[in-house]
Amino acid sequence: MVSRSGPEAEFATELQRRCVQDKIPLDMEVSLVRRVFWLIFAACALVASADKDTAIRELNWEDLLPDDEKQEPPAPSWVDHSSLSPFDNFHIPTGIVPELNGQMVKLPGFIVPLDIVEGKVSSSLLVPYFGACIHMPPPPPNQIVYVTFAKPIEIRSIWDPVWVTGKLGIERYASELAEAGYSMKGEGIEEYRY
Amino acid sequence: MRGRVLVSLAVRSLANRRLSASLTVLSVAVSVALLIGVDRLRTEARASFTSTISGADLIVGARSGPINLLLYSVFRIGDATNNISWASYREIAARPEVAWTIPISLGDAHRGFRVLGTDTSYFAYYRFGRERSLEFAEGAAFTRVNDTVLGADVASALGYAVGDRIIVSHGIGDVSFEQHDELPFLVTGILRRTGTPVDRTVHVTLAGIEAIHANDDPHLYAGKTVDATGAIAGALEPETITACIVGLESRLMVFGLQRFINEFEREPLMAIVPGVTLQQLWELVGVAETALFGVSTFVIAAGLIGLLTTLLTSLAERRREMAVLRSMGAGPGMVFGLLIAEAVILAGIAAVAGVTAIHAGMFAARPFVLERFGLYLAPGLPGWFDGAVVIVVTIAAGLIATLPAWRAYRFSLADGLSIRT
Repeated sequence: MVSRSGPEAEFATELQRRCVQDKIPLDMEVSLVRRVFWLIFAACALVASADKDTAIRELNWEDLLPDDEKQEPPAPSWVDHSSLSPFDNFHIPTGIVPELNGQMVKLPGFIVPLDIVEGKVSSSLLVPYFGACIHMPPPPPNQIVYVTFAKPIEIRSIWDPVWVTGKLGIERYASELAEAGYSMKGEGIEEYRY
Repeated sequence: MRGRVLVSLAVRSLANRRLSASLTVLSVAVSVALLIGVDRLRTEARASFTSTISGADLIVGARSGPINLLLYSVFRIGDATNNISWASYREIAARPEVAWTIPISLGDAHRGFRVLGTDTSYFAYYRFGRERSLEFAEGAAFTRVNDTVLGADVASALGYAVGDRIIVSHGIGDVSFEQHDELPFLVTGILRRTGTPVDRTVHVTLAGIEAIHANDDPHLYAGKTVDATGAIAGALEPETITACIVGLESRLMVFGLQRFINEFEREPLMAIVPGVTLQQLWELVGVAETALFGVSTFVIAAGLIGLLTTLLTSLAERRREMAVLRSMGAGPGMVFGLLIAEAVILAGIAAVAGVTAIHAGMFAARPFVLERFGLYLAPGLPGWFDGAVVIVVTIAAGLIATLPAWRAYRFSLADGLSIRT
């Protein structure tokens, strides 16, 4: 018999003992052992592949806020268009969740196209509410994701919300105004159904 | 074996009626060419349209409408409602989140081509298509007040070369009578063709624009070197510009700066995200392209009905042919198959001919289309769409041919060798 080590060897030895006891031809049992191990291996592979599929984490926009900001969500106040005070609150310091870096995620939102190549969007901002709404202040940097698509995507209308899947990254700013925000290597979009 | 006999019989029979057969092929080929042509043009138009500007984060102009601002600042269509002050422009350009700016000053023309006042940042930062930057085919960027850089179409249409002197006039009409002919501009560079409105633009310095409109003798400024902002500080610093293109340090700042500009204290300004406005504009124009595509599908249907008519009318004069075939031992099924084979052969030849003709034609027409309509047709081989059209048209022809085939089958059962007339 071929020498083995590890749990398979122990199992085989145990089997050999039992076979002798029960007078069953040994070869048959060994092939059975092989089959059992193959089955276990196949099952593990299946579980692993299923796990890979579910590894895409579905996020909502609150997950992008660090814990101390979750307590008091940035209350969207109405913008006072009548005053002459210039809008300058986009330098409010915002934090990020560093653990999200490198994760495959799926996030719902609106696509704001930045670069369009041959009719398809190659880079965009993903926002929780439509960014052109003039009644609300724009979303803070930690509620915007800069998405680049290696394979440009076609969008039907900028008013249609979508799910965007991709690998999340942290975008460091060159300027000192804010520390960081999110970026994403977008792999695909799908229609968002209400 | 039987199939080969069928095809050779069909081909011989068609050859015998070559005039009507070739006319049928022509009508189907024209309809296929139309469909493919419309599809190619709309994809190319869309690609060319959306490739006009890229890499820019905001376009800033006087407060009007987003589409209007995009049209005059990028496509040189229409006019600005108002200018923005030089001071406001400098303030925006100096903001820490701004990486670069391109000032744009419009309103003048040279023999029907728009004149655009700017600075050298235009050649450094303007991007189109897949992040392509402007390149010089000849010469270099302007450095003096009365230097000018021409787009490719301007140079080729008016036959200008580097070293020529041109006159820039006030107003945007084809011919302006109020010519500022006191100050000739020297062509220092010609840009490589881009397939965008840049090709039809005459670029001068901001100081050059000021010099055209200066009350005192413009020759005072001739040959003076401008600074990095395209102006001569103190002397020919512009009071206003028409719009500016802004690039940011981080694209996450787009909304923040947009809101800052829209709420600008000193004067009513507007900032747009070019990608958003391009997409909105295309959603508007896209309705027409869908309609066009619908029309060309109907033309295909008309072409196939023409094929059907030809086959049906030919049946009466071919009763003797069918009877001879029957007497030679051809079964009714053979007669049925013969008609189907004829239709499939006709449609197949027509579809392939149509695809070939339109691709060859568009390839040949590229220089003309580019010069006349400013639309760059990328040379491309027939793709999956063309293949699908050929297959669908051929199958459709085979299907509609079942009607004449069924009639021929019935005749061949009823008719004898002698034709009762």
